[in-house]
Amino acid sequence: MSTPPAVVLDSAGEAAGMAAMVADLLQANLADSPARRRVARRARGSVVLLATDRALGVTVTFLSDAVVVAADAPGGGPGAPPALAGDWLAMAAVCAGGRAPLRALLRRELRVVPRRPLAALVAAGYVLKVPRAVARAARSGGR
Amino acid sequence: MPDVYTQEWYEAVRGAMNDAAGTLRSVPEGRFAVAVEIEGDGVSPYVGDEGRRFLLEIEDGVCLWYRELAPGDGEHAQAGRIDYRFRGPATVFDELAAGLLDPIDAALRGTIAVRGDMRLLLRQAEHVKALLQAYTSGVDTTWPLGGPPYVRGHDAAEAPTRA
Repeated sequence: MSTPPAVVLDSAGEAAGMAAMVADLLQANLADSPARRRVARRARGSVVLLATDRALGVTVTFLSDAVVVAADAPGGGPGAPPALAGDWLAMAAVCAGGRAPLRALLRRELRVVPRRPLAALVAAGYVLKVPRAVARAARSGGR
Repeated sequence: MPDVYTQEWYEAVRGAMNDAAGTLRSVPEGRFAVAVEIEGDGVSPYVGDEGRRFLLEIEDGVCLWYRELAPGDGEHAQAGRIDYRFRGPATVFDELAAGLLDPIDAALRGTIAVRGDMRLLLRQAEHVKALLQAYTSGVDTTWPLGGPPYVRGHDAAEAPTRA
């Protein structure tokens, strides 16, 4: 079994709590899912997760042997990384596997800010989503 | 109207949380224990240097109990495994209880540290939001020593004095 890439938290930013939550989520998903580990190791680039109702964002950057979660989000403009934007609750529901990403996009609960390249965004969407088996176990009770 | 941080207040908060949970279409199944640690910050008159600790237990969306721990009380002896832990300064918790701060904002900005299984917490985000809203605005709280926002030391020194 491959070792998961390190998840590095850079909490120097306005969204320190959001970054810590995303880092915890990534760490747990990567520990549990070999497929997510493979995707995280192959992905390159940065993705921004924007909680638009809170005006807060974090940046997830895929490196070869680490995923860095930074507690701030760069502004838009040329060269800015792709962003997944929406209300915090919608983003949380998608990440936790409680709502299908496509459904959230179609219902405009989330939107992809049209920045390219999108490969890192697709990778981030997959790696952040809680594995189905874990989500199923969570549904059946906490203890 | 109960005084903040009294047994009457904990019961009122518990009732408000359960009322809020009752309005949700679905609540998470299972049992969860939550520890809350409030750190004394020298500003809130309600929390000394030793801080305050609380435990609450939630089962199938219903808060079974919410109580303060006495100094030296072991939290595991009372609740077993702790699933989530919220920690932050007293002023922030007082401002939350007074409805002056948004709890989700406080968590996302890291003003309050949240530890535990984020996968479960995010799955229960709607429920958590309802519980937090009950905490911040579900109870008409009395503040016998004066309520937040507090005038901090340097603010008080800068404030104009009356003749």
